[in-house]
Amino acid sequence: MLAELDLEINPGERVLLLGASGSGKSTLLKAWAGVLGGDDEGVQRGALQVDGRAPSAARGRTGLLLQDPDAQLVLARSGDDVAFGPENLGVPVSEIARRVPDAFAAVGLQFLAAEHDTTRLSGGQKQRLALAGVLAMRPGVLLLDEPTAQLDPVGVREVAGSVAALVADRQITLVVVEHRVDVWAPLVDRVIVLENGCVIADGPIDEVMATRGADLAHGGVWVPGREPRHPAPGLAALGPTVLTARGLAVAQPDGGVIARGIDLDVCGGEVVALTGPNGAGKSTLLLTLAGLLPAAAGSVNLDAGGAPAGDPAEWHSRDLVTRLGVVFQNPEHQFVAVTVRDELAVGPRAAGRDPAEVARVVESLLDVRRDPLHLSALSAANPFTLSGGEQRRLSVATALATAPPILLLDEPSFGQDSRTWAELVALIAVHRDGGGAVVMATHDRALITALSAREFALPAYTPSFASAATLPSAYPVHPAPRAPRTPSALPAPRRQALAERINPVAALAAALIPALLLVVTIDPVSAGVALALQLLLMPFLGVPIRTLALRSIPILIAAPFTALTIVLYGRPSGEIYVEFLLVRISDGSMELALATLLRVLAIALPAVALFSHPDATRLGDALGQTARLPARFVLGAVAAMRLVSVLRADARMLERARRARGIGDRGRVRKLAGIVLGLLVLSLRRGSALAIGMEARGFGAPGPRTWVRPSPWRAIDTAILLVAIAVSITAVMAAVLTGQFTSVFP
Amino acid sequence: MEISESDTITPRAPRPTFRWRVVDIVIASVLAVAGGLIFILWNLAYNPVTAPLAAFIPGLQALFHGIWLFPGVLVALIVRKPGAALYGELVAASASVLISGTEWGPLTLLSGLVQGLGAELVLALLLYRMWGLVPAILAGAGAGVGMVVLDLILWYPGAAIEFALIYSVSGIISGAVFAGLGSWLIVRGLARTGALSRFAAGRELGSRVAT
Repeated sequence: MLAELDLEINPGERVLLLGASGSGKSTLLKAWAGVLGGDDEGVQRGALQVDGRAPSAARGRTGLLLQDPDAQLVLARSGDDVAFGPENLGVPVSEIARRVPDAFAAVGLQFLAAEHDTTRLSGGQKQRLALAGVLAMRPGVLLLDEPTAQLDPVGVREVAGSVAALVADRQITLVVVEHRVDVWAPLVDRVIVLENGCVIADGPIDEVMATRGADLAHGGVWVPGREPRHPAPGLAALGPTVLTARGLAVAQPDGGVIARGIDLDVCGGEVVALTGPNGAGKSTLLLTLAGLLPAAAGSVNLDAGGAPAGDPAEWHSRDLVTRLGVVFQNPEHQFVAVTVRDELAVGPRAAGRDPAEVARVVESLLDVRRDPLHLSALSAANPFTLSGGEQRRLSVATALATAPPILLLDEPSFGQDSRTWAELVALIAVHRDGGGAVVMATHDRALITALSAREFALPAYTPSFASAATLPSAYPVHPAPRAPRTPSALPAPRRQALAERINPVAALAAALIPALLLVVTIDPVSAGVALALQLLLMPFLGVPIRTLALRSIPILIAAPFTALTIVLYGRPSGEIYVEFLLVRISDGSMELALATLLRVLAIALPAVALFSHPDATRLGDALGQTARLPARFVLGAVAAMRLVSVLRADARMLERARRARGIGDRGRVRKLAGIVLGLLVLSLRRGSALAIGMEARGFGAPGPRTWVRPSPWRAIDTAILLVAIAVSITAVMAAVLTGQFTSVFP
Repeated sequence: MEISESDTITPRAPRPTFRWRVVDIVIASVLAVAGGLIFILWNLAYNPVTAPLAAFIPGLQALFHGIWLFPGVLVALIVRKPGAALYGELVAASASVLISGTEWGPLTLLSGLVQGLGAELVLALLLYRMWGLVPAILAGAGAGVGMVVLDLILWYPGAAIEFALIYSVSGIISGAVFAGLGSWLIVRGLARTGALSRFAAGRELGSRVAT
């Protein structure tokens, strides 16, 4: 990727690293941060040093901030997350307790509670929190890899503002990789341009822009004054109204109404831009108009494509695809085929076009001479292997392949460089000028201008909601600016139930003891005694009976069925009442069934009672500190758990995208298989990014790590274990003494 | 603070090791958590329909249990490190417990542990050197063995020998098919997307099907 590169950056410098996509700028940044991977992944030649040392040895001296906000936040709670880097570097807990509030304040997040859920922040806040996590390591160099590419304009200003404040005193060296020059121009004093892994320009920003501006703009860099040309404005006369919304209210499936009272008319030949602040419901509205989310109230009416007018939410997937083309924010949500060519054929095929027609459509889109998508050379490539810009063009083309009268796009220009942006604009303009309607949710002012879009602004739902989207009320937020509480300085909350105070490792062990000890015998006496003792002791755990009962329902249902199995198929003895094929109901099988019923309850109920409040962070702390399992593995699992909400949202989007692509009517098994594979691909993407983010935060560094959250083992934990053992042993002894002991091995 | 780059040459050759890299740990964790999420989807589809029916089937219900065994084999086939099958299955089981609240709680972890061990033992016997279709199927069957042994001891100790036999054979076949063959197919599909480029599995399979 990089070859024969010579470069030196001095303390306190502020450098902007530019170059076309694939020029090696991100690779260089990751090499400096020491997160490029090991010897089994590639070849490294030459020397690369930070402070005169190898980057992997200088971990903590360089702080790397990446593009994807979800790739760098590691832990569920904000305070823990900021402490994660210093913990990995073995910084003493008392020192971390000082650094965490400093880091929060340095990025302007002092109002954020240490317990605040890191999945419930806006993009800009996530990036600032990630920056705080980097700063807590006290780096000498900040390496920023397109830190604002996935943010809306508010988020961009937040992050750039925080960085500007940080480097103001020139104590920290700054290297930024970006294709948006205007964001960073006021801040940097040196610009380095890479091409094919070599430095081709190096100097003050004005000088480099003057000499290299044209080349850079051609390569996709957003050079001020050299913005991409806009297509000609659309036709003067609009077509008939194709899409109507009346009194529409939109909501996410598991949430409340986000926006209501929406009246919207969209005509053929026009572009409508849905705008509004974060959380105003732009994407939700778009998905509702596309018939992928049910309307919470009001109506959507689509009257186009020669089909009867109606609400798209009620249509079959294969009908939807001929009338609406939907482009998702993340193209990887909507790819379902193994080559570009097949991907383009999916829609027309689902719509029931004959094979010759499908082939004709695909050939025209991949036509070598006209090459409208600039993808003809990649027709046999897997869609997931394409670059971001290529994926974007393909996703638009798949939506257009069935020639739908309406095109709906969700943040289509996110993360695009100026060249791929211009190509995207051109594709949309062609659809518009052919009389098609376009609705897009976007923050991008340039996109709105370029397509002469009519703006439909969604208000923030309520003043409290605008902040609620980012700071939900489930967590306390301090109104006045003040230092956040550090994790170790958390005040003791209200007196918790015993079950919640037990060390999770003790709870785990105590819950498993019946499963390990009671299993030696299968008889009603031992199981019954154990169950009786457990029921007597359970109130002491302090878990409300209602909670306990609700959690036990699956077990209370399953236990009788397991017993029924044994009635039918248990070891026979005594009188046999029914015999039919393999079924043999006998005195013996019924007695064993009773034993099984009691035993299942005696094994499973303690598990529910003791492990009633699982929390990944607490469990991880206990496994790492109390059980002394390898920290890297425990923390890897805890970090992955944080992605559950992201992966859940992915799974939902995958399902919606399949409906939008016309293949949502397929059988359940086939659909599920497609979603599973899609989810695993996205897991790999997110995991790969997270690995780099975690490594940049010192994860995996040699030497012992520190733990900010203590996981104490108290007398009560020992007591719980002893009681659990005593109960099971008493039960087994009772069986032995009454002569009921029955070995599980026949 | 000074960062610099100069041009002394130290060429190194790619070499696989048994040591887990950070990316191995993180990818194994994220895939396993996704597996836990898939368990929950599967449980929603499977339990309400078949749980009551299962009581009347003489052990054949185990034919569907292989779905719960795939994360261990899948993670092992991708990261190819000692302990990967055990870790993958255990984390997937933990994730399903942590996501859905409890259902069987720690008992699910115990299942994950034993099932993961089953697959792990097979891969260890192959000295962690074979990752093709046959090893995958054997590992899936190994996970199936772990599953049926635990289930028969924990839940069905009173069952007659016929039931135990049918349950065992069904569970092992199911493990071989869903967890073994299934994971192998998934890895091939994933390799084609280029998402496995940092893994030997992705580089081997990816280059074979690259365009």
